[in-house]
Amino acid sequence: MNRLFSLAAAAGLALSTFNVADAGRTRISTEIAQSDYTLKDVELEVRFGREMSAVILADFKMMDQQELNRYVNLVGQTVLQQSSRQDIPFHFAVINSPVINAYAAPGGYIFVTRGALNLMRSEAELAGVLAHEIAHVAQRHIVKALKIKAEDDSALGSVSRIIGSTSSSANVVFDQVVDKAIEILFSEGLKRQDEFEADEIGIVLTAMAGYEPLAYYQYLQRIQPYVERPGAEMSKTHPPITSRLKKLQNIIDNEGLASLQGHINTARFENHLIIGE
Amino acid sequence: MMKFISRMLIVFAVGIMSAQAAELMYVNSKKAKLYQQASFSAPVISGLSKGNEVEVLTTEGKWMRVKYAALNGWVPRYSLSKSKPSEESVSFFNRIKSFFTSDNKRARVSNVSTAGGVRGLSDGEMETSGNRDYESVEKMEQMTVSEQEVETFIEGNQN
Repeated sequence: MNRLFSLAAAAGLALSTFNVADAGRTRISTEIAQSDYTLKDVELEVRFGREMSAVILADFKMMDQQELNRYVNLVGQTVLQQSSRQDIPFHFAVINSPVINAYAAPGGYIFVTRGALNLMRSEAELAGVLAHEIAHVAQRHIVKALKIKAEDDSALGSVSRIIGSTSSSANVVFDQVVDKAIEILFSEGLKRQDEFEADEIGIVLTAMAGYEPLAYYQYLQRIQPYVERPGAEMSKTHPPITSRLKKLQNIIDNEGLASLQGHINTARFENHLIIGE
Repeated sequence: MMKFISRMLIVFAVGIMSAQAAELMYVNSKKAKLYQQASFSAPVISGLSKGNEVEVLTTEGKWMRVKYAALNGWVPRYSLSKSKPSEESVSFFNRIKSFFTSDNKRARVSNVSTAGGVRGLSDGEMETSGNRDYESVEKMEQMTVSEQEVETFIEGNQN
């Protein structure tokens, strides 16, 4: 019983520190210093992401279209080649949800909704959206927000040491943190700065992969009227599209992305995109 | 004597600066490019691949000027990391997968006490469920594409 209380207290501590920035690290150093994370940290991250994915896929079924899912995987893997996060396998799937959004669970599990795909016009736009999600995983946005680290004094760190057991109290703590992560994805949103960063890295990855980077900008413009209506999920979980477009425009100008003329692949996209309601 | 000490200090300081300038980094993305200038529209000097060691000369915004073999050029900082890419990832990932296919999975499912699910009845609405669909996760993980398939896919870029 004491153990249960201490785990619950530890969980409370973890849950109360969600929005506290990790002051010990700067953004740039975390981008390039993967050595801050041990294999055990990554192992815990993937376990955590799998659990989140199991929750997501219990409620939003994966689209039962093998060729479509395979195509999304091919586009995702093409973009992924350019990412510095190569220590884990990434998985991509289309989920049967009318909501216009995409989600990234830690450990490389990436979901794009049927609603989002329906508003896309090209493979380059899909690449831009997947690149944004890859950036969330590469930058460990949820991992940092929830302090998912195996070898420290956090609640999850404690849980990770006993997760191999069938301890129900450990499972409760683990599930509470998973639930918090689900809340972040579907209702609270990440920090605005994390979304801006994912946009920035995403558009650069898209360009590096040979795709037309402006396609992502155009996609955000197109979905703006849909995702900014009252009650829309993305209006709660992401910064306003206008501010995202403004920051993207700066990156496009500063990095000379407008003149790249990358691949758009409209025909290949349309050939694969036969989505039933 | 003072002059000698001053000179030695200067030499020492220059030595430290050189050591700092000679920071080694590694290509951590599967592929990267070495550009002539710090711009994606600049000519590409050479292709780089995962694990290549580069010497960082300067940093400018999102770019790093590096020395790779006998070549000098610019690489986006997203492609580089301070640590050498690990070769251990595959074996440890297999260990993780076994976690959910062992008795742990059954134990977890039966003991789970969870606060929320993500039923999307409409935008923003949530419904408590507590369900997990591990079979679909496994199906998602099995939808793999080989490196060769990705290369063939990239070669098929149309416009």
